[in-house]
Amino acid sequence: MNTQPVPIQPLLAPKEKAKLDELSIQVIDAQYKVEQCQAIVTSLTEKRNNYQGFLTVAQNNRAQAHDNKALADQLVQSALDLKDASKTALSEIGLADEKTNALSASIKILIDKLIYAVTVLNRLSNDIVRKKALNPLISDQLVAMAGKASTDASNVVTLTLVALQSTFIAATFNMETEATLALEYTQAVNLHETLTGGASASTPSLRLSLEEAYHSADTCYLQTDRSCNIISQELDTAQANLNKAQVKLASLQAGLSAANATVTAT
Amino acid sequence: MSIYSESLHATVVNSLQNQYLDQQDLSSQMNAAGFTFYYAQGATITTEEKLEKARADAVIKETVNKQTVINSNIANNLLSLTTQASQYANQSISNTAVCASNVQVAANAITRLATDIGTIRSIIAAADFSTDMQKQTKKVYDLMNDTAYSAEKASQMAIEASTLTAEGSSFTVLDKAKNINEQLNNLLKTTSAELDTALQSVAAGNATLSKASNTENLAGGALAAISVAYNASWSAYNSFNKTLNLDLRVPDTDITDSSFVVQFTKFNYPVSEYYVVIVKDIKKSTFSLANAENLLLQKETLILVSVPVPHVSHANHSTLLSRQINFFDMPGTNKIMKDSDGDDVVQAQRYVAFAFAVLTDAYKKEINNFDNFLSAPSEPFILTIKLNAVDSSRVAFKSDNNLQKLEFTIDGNTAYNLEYRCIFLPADAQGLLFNVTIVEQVSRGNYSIAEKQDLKNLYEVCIGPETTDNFGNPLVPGKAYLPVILTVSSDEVDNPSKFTNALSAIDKKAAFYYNQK
Repeated sequence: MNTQPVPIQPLLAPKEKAKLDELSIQVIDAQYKVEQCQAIVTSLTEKRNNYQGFLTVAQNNRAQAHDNKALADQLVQSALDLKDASKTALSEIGLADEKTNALSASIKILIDKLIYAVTVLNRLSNDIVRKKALNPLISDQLVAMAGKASTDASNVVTLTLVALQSTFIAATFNMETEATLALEYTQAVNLHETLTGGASASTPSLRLSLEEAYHSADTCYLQTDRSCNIISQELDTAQANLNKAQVKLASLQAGLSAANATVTAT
Repeated sequence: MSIYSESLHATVVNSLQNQYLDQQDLSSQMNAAGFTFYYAQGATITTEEKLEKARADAVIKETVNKQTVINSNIANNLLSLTTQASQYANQSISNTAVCASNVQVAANAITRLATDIGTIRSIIAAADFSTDMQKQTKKVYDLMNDTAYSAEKASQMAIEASTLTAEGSSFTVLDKAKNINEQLNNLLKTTSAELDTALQSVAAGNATLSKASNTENLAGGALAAISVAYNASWSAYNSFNKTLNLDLRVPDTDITDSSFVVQFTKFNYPVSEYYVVIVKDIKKSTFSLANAENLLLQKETLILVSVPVPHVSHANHSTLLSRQINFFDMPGTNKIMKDSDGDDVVQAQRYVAFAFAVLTDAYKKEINNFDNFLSAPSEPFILTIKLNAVDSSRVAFKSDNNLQKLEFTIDGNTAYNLEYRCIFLPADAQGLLFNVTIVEQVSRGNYSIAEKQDLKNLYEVCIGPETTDNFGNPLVPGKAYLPVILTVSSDEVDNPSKFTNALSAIDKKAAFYYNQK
């Protein structure tokens, strides 16, 4: 009978133990490496997400700045249109005003002529009536006509005075309108200059501010976009390193399991 | 050892161990407090930068809004003027129309009168009137005709004036003024809303900042308190160690790639030989005098390393004994030193040192006890390879039209694969807590790795909008930053804990201003 005790666990030869220890250490190192790579990927992912957030903000800011700038451009165009239209309206009322002024002068001359003509006519009518008293042969029709002419002349003078009066009213109003439009034109010029910063376009103005705001929003967006790309590339590299480390770890773990299995089997 | 000596030894070991644990506990608390303070500082800086940005943004929004208000005011005035002008123009049109009509009525009446006078003249010419009468009639006739002609002309002129007035484009002007007013009002709504949002951001930022600086202050206070406790505990440990354990130490400053120094003061009893033995930290509680005696018996010279005995003449002084051990190359053997387990001494392993004193035979006989003396364990130490820090005076900031970069050179060739992590600290941050422990925790996203250039030993790192400070805040244009460089091992195989990383000095002269390119 064999009295020797059977060992419960096979004893490892020192060489095999050393091999297993070495493999275990390699697995631990590979695990550490994976953890390190994972930490880098996590950090860069966080950074990329941060920058993606910045990019969204930058994009919205740029869109808003762009809308504002477009509105400014439209405003400047509208102000220019208004300035031009005001100038035209002013020169038109100027012409009308000139005409009403000339009309006033003409009507004054007309009324002077009319009054003189009517005065001479009245004298003729009186002479005809006096002659009829001396000479009954003078026709009644002539006398009647001369009388009617005098009466008509009086009405004509009245009508012409009415015309004179309304001409002066019209002229006065046109002058007031012209003055208002002149002030309006000055203001339109002022608005255009305030909007654009005048001829030099370098003094602070709403258009310049909104243009600068857009320019800086655009630069910010482009830079953030570029940053996002750089960070994404870094992240890709880090991810590749992590994958490599994970593959290496898996292969080492498989190697260790196989070695353990071999050792247990013997 | 006598029973008294054993009791003393046990007390010493316990006291030191307790003090060490207390110190370790405080050390980790201090580290934690350090990190809390560091992140609190980071939060304050982040908030400050956000607030500065929000303020700058609010200033711009305010300018735009002010300008819009100015323009809008002009446009409002303009609209009321234009409205008035168009009312005047309306009245003018109606007035000139009335005028034209009146002038025409008068002109027609004058023409009729002239015609009647023409008839009168014909009758007078046909009848035999005197030459005077004839002349008189002709005069009236001529005057009337002339007046009628003038009246016709005036009527014509009045029609023209009426047409010109009616043709005026003041209504177009009114439409345009209304249009521009509406556009400006819309813009004003937008710019006011943007200003409101910006001001709210500033207000929120102010609130967050005061909270953040409050948190920072608390964290700073907590760190200061724990630091005091840690330093006290550290002094206590040192004092215990000095009084009770021969001041046994393995000074960190003396650890090199291949050697370390063990030092202790001489034992109070007559000693014939001194040794030191290196034990794994996890085994320190089981390593006993018996183990040491056994090693002595086995003449394990690679484990028990002898230390020269000081001269007797100096016996009254607390002379310091010290031994530098070249652990890769033990004297006379060219072999590697072994620890108490018989394993090779390696880097990255946590060890403690024991001092072992063999008492003189005479003394042993005198007290009739043949045991020798084993100290309590030293404070744990790790053998590491100390990497060289980059010399901050060799760090240069370069900037041209396109890019900004940091350049530096390193000393000679090194046997290891190294990585240089460039970290940018906000220069205006007061009392920023920054040391190797903290910088090692700065994550990959918040530092830039310098690239080796073709030129020997020249490294450079580009700085752009993707670059952040140590807290992960993008660099702010116009703000000053202090570059610090951490040297770490990038070896694929070597265990990184074999190395002690090195941080370049924080050098105010190396500060640079970041610009947007």
